[in-house]
Amino acid sequence: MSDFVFATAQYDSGDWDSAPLLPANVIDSIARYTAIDVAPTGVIVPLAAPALFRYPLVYLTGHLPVRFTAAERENLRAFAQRGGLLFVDDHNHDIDGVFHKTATEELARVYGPLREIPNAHPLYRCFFTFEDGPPTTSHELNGWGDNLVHKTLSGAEHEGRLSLIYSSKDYSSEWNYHPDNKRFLSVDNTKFAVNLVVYALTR
Amino acid sequence: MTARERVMALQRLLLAVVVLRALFIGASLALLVTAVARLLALSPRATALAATTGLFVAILVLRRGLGARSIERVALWVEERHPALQYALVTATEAPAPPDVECQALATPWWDVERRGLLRTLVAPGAVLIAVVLLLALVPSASTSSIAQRVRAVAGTGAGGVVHDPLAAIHVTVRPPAYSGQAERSLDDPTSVDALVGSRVIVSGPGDAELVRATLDSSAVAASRADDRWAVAVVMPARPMLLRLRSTTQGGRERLVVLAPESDAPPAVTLLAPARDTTVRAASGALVLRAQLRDDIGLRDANFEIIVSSGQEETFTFRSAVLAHRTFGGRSGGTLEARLSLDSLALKPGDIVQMRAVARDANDVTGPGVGSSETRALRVARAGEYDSVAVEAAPPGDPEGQVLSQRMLITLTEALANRRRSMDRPTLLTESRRIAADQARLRKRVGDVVFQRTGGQPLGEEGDAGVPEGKLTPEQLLERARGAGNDAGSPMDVEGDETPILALNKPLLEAFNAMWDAGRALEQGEPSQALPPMRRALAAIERARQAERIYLRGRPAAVIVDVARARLAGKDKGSSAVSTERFTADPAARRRAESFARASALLARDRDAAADSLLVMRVAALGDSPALAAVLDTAARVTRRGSAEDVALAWARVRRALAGPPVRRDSLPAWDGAP
Repeated sequence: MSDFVFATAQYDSGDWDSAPLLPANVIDSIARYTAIDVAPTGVIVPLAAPALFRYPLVYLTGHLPVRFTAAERENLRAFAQRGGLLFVDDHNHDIDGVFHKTATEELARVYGPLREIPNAHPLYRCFFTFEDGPPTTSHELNGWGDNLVHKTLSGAEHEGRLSLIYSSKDYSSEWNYHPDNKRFLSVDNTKFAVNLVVYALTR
Repeated sequence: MTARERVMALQRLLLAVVVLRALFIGASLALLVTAVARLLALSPRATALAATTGLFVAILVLRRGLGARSIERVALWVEERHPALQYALVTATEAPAPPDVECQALATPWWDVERRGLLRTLVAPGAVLIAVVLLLALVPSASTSSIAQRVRAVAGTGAGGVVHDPLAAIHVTVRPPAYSGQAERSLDDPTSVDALVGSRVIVSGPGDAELVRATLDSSAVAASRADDRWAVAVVMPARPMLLRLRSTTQGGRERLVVLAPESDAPPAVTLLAPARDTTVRAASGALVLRAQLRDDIGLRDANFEIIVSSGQEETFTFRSAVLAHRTFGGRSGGTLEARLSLDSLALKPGDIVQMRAVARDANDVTGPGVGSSETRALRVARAGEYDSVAVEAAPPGDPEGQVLSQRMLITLTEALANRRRSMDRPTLLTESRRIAADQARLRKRVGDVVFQRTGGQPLGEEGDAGVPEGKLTPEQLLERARGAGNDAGSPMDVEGDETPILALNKPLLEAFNAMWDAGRALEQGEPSQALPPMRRALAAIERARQAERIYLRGRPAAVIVDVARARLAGKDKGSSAVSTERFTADPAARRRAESFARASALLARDRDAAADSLLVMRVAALGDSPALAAVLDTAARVTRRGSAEDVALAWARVRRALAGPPVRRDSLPAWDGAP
């Protein structure tokens, strides 16, 4: 069995590489808490490339407007139909922001209307248990963005499992630090990333 | 009045009575049948049957009286009824008779007796006719006839009467939504109805509304009655659905009609200008925006959307605007134009303007459908990016200073090598040296690039001091670079033990040296010998170009995690998840294959049921496999009414459509061991 490889989506518009340290941090957490064989570095995969289908979980973020090309849209649709999970995080954490507005519009064109993921969803219990749903980030009340604590994530399902998870919580800022600095935290704030990976691999 | 004249008068009366009796009897019978049909709520066809029966009986009655057309036979008929005449009447009728015979024929007033007798024969049929007319007036209508209801309930006959099955022949009327401007259309006996979402679909058939139960995707739909027909009206749903019609008569069957919605496609929008993304040093002037719009039914309005993003890192601000809003009033196509003043946007370095055209259609049922073009971006470069991004267009170069590309020089040399046999030596030498001069000019340009990078001065004109006349080794190049004062000490990615200078300039140095070899051969009038080094030079230039491609955005810094060190070092423990079975790669295809197998099993026993199964499959296929849906519809229709050969062919087509297009393999799959 091949190692799990964390993939960051590269799309034609916007700043897709706005959280360059996040993949290493997630990879470190996978190794730290699970026995999942994981590649030591992440990869960058263009959304329109067939290589997208090699990765069960693909992470997408940015601050700028998201406008998928027709090829990106088509590839993403096929990715969902083949069982891939796309995790999208708004790096602006602003529901009135342009990333949120454009990304949700584009995602709805591919996945259909986004729905709230209930906090009792298996996503929050498949490895670590998050009773209250998605963990709050320190960036949700930092004065930037919409200054809201988002109680839920939203997403879309295909054949009974999540094929899209959309977050306005700014995990991209929360997890974008070198994994060596994790030792300074009393509570590891990347544990939810482990659930994302475990869910993508087991459901 | 003579005896013959009296017989002729009686003949006329006799003919009239015969015709009237026939009419009375035929009409009485026809009306009686009609009254019974109304009483039993039989279909309008029963009335036609009654009329036919009456006409038939009338003709029979009339035929019996045809003998009255002959005056001799009328005379004989009278003689038969009055024997005292002793054939005097027949004799007087056939020819002018003697007076005594005439007197004998008129001796008794037989004409009065027969006239009264004939008129009496009309009384009974007339009375029957009046009675039947009264009966018809008194018979209640079918809808209120309890006898009809009882008969339907017990005998299982529908309102069709002769047509016992109310679902035997259905009629569908489709009324598209008003915004589409499409005309109403009708379909007879369809298995599937294709119509725009929101269309009103009215399914009707002969008979009473109580005889039909309708459900649309498990929701009951009420049937109504109009003009001796039942009717079920539904609105075309957004996704394919089955309309199930079930007859409530004894042994009544079910009939399926697939409602196949046709979606109103969103407008197709193409942004014609600007044609590509652009990066500029300073944004000023106006930008022309032009878009082409099309819609399958009709456009409502369109506009350009502008988003201006400013900022960097974590701090971004955005402005958005709508430009050139225009209504199209339902036209199917058009163009949208606008001029965007960049000055008014007050763009700063780093700002990005994203533009797209958005159009909405006139769909007021499920829409409006919104279509958008690809997005174009105009970016204002930051100061630090000026050496690596496109800046303002430069004026045309000095024609004398132009150099031909290496690729063009190779083309010229190849042409010269091909023509050399037909040329004399002096001409060949002249043309070859002309190419050699171009090659030397290009070599000088490459040398400039190499020396500028190594901190040296650009090469002078051909023949100036310092111009390398021969090949340079990397060591010589390095020596020259050191001598020029090395300030290219910034860190670079290099391979092996190479110095940064060598790593950077190696391909160009190779090109520089190959060009020297090529120039020397061309100077000697040997174009064929010049070609291999020229091609080496081209390949080296290509490598250099690839190696130095600059990515503005760059890649995120690669952090390599020490997985082994981090493995299970975390203090928190999670609960291992139980892996659940994933769906197959194409679950829809698997489900279709299973459904088709079940339908195939039904085909031998019950063709209608097999056809219904295909229709159910079609509903599922309409969304994502239109080709399969089309062959399923054909197969369902053929299965109901076609011959065995047609059915086999149609089902084979379904099977092929299920299997998908054939996959071409270049070779046999690899052997992976014995099973």
